[in-house]
Amino acid sequence: MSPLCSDRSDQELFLAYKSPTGTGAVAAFEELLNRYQQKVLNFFYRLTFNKEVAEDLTQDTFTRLVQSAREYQPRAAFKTFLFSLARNAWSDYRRCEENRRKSVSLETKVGDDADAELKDFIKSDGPAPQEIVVQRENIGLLKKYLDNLSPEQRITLELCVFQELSYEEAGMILEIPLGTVKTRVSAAIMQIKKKMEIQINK
Amino acid sequence: MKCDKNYDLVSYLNNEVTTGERAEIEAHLLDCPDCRQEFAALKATIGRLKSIPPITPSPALKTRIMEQVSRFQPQPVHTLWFIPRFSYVPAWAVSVAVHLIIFAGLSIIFIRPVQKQQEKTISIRLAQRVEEEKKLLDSSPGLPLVAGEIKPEEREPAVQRPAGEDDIPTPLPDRIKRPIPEGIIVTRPVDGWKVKLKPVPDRDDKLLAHFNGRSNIKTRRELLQKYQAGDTEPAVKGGLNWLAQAQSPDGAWDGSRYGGRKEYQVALSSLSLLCFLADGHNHISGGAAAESRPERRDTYTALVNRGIKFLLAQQDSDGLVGPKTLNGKPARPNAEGGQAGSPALIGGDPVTYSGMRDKPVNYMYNHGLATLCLLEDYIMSRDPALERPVNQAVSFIISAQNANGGWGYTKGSPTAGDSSVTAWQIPSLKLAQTLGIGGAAESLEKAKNWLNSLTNADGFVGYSAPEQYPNGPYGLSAAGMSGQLFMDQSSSALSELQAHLLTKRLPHLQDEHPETESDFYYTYWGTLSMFLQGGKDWETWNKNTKQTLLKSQVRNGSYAGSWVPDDKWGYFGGRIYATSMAILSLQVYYRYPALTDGR
Repeated sequence: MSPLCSDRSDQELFLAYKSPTGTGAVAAFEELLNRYQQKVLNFFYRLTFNKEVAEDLTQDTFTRLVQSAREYQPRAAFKTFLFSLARNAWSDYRRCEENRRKSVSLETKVGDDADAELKDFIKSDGPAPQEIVVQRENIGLLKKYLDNLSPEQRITLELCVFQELSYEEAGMILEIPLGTVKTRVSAAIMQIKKKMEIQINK
Repeated sequence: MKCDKNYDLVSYLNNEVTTGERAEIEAHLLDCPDCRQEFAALKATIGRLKSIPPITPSPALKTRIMEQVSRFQPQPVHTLWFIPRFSYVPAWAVSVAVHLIIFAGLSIIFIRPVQKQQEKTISIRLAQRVEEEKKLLDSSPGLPLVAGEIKPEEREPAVQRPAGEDDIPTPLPDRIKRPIPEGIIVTRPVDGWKVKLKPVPDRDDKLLAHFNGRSNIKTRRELLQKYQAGDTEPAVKGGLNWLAQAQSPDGAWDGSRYGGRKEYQVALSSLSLLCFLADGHNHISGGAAAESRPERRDTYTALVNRGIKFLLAQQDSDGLVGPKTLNGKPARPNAEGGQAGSPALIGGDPVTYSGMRDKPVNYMYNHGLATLCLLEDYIMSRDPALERPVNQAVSFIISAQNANGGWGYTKGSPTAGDSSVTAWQIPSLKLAQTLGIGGAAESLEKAKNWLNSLTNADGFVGYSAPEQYPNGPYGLSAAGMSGQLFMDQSSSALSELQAHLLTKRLPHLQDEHPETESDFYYTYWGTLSMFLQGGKDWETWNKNTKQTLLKSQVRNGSYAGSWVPDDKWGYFGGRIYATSMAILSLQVYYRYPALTDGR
C-alpha cells in the first residue's frame, strides 16, 4: 500500500526514483510502472499486433528508462521522455528485424500471407445465419488498415491518436517538425477512412 | 467530397488548429453539408480505430521489469552524484549556475517577507469578497424546492471583481464564486451532523421512499438475500475502502492520478460519491453505515460532505456543475458548443483530443452525474442548503436539452445529441420530477420520444441516429433501456425484448472468454436495466455478471479493492471510473427499487 506514491506526479516519482538517497526509489518506480506499463505495452502492441513482442519491447523500454535516468531533465515531461525511449526501442527493433529478414530466405511471400489472413478474419467474423445482423467492429480489418500505413505514419498516428499526445509532443519524440506531424496524422486518417469506405461499398 | 475548401478536419478533430482556424472551420461546417459529412466520417474513422481493444500486460511482465530495476539500484548516498552531470558542462555554465544558486538563496532571504505580506493582503481581500457574496446570497430570496423555473432575476447577481485585482494571482480557481451554503461545512463537529431527517413528504412514492431503505441495514440484508447476493458485500466494502483513500483533500476524485482524464474530474468525483450515497451515507449522517460499518460511519459522512462541497464549489451561476473549459476560464468565442472539444468519458464518442487546456470541455457528462449526486444527497439528507443548487442544476439540464429531446456534449451543441449523454440525464430528471421540480416531466417526455426514435425493431438503440453504433450496439442499448425503465418506472414489451438481447452478450472475463471485451459501461447499464426489468433474464444476467465482477476485483497490493480499467473507456476514466462503475453494479440490489415487486 503506497498512498503516498499515488499523490505524486510522474515527474516527482521519477525524481524520487533517481534521487541519491534511494529511499522509496523502487516503490516510486513501481508506481510509474503501474501508470505506464499498459500504455507502453499497447503502444508496441498496436505497432506489431504481437503481444509477446510488445511485452519484450515494453521491458526494453523500462530498462532504458532505468539506464538513462540520469539524462532526464526535469524540464521535459516524463511522458515525452518515456515515449522517446519507446521510440528508440522500436527503431532498434525494426533495424534488427530488417537485417534478420534480409538474411532469411526470400521465399516468404508476405503479401499473399497477409491476404490469406485477411480472408480468415473476414470468414471467422461472419455472423451465423440466424443471428441478428448488427454493425460490429471487425477488429481484424482495423488491424489490417494500420498494418498498411507506412511505419512513420503509423508511429505518428499511434502517438497522436492512441496515446493522445499533442502534435508538439509527438514532434519532440519523433524529432520532426510540427507540420510533418500534422501531415502524417491527416494522411494516415484519410487513407484509413478511404479503405473503410471501400470495404463498406464492397 | 464536392466542397473545395480543403480544411484540415483531422487536425481540427485533434484540437490542433489555431483559434482563428477553429472559428472558420466551425462556421463553415454549419454551412456545408459535404464537409459535415466528411467530418462525421473522419470522426467515425478515429472512433473505430480506437475501438481496437487494448491488451493487458501479463503479470509476469511487471515481475520481469521490477527484477531489472532492483539490479539497477540508484547510486548509494555517499557517491557525489552531481559531479558526473557537470562533467560535460562548460565552465561558464557552472559559474552561471553557482551565481544563480547564490542569487536564489539571497532572494529567499530578502524577497520572502514581501511575498508573505502580499499573500496576506490577498487572503484578506478574498475574505472580504466572500463576505460580500454571502451578503448577496442572504439578501436574495430563498427558493422553495418545488420552485419550477428559476427566474433570471432570482439568480445571484454576478459579482464584479474590483478593478486591478486581475493581476493578483488568485489562489482559488476562477469559478469558485459562490460561498458554500450553510450546512455543508466540513469543519462542523461530528455531533452537529446528526440532524434528524425531515419526513419525506411524498412517502407514497416508491422511488423516493426507497432511499430510506438505503440507510436501513435490515432492508439491505433482506434484499441481498432475495437476490442471493450476500457475497457482494465484502467486495463493495473493499471497493469503497479503495475509493475512500483515493479522494483528494479538496473532496474531489482526481481521475488523472489514476489513468483518467482531468476534464472529467467532476464526473469521476460524482461516480465515486454515488457509490457512497448508495451505501447509505449522505453529507449529514451515516445511514446504513451506522449499523453495517460503524467504524466507517464518521469517515464516510465526512467524505461525502467533502465531495458534495466540492461539487457545489464547481457550480456556476447558470447551475452548471463543472468547468466549461479545462482551465476554468470562460470559453473562447465560437469554442463553446463546438463539436470538437474533449472526448466523451463514458460511452459516446471515443475520439480524443490532445493538448487541450483552454479548450472547451464536453461538460454534460460532468453535469448529469453531478446533478444525480446532488439529488440523491438531497433526498437522503433533506438539507435545505441543497435546495437551490439542486433546482439550478436540474434547470440547467432542462435548458441544455435539444429541440429533438436529446442531449449532446454541451448545451446548444450543433449535433443532434446522443443516447449516451442522454442516458445520464434521465435518472436526475426522474428524481427531479418525483420531487416536483417544474419542467422535468415535460423534458422527460421529450427524451422518451427521442430515445424511441433511435430504437430499431430489434430493440437496439442507436447513438444519434437509429442503427448508428460507433462502438457497438450493446452498451447504448443497455443505457437506452435503463433510461426508458427509469423514467417509466414500469417495464414494456420493448424492455422485454431488450432484456432478451442483453442476455446474448453477458459480461465475461476476457481471460475466460477471449471473444468478449471488458466493458464497465455495458456492465453498469446492463445490470441496472436488467435489475429494473426483473424476471428470468435478470436471473441469468445477475448470476453471470456478479461472478464476473467479483472475480475481476484486485485483491492484493496498493490497488486492492479496485478494478483494473482495462476496458475501452479505461483511457478516459481510469481506475476511478472502472472501480465506481463496478461498485455501483454490485450495489444494484438496493440502490433503486426494482419495478417488479408488487408495484
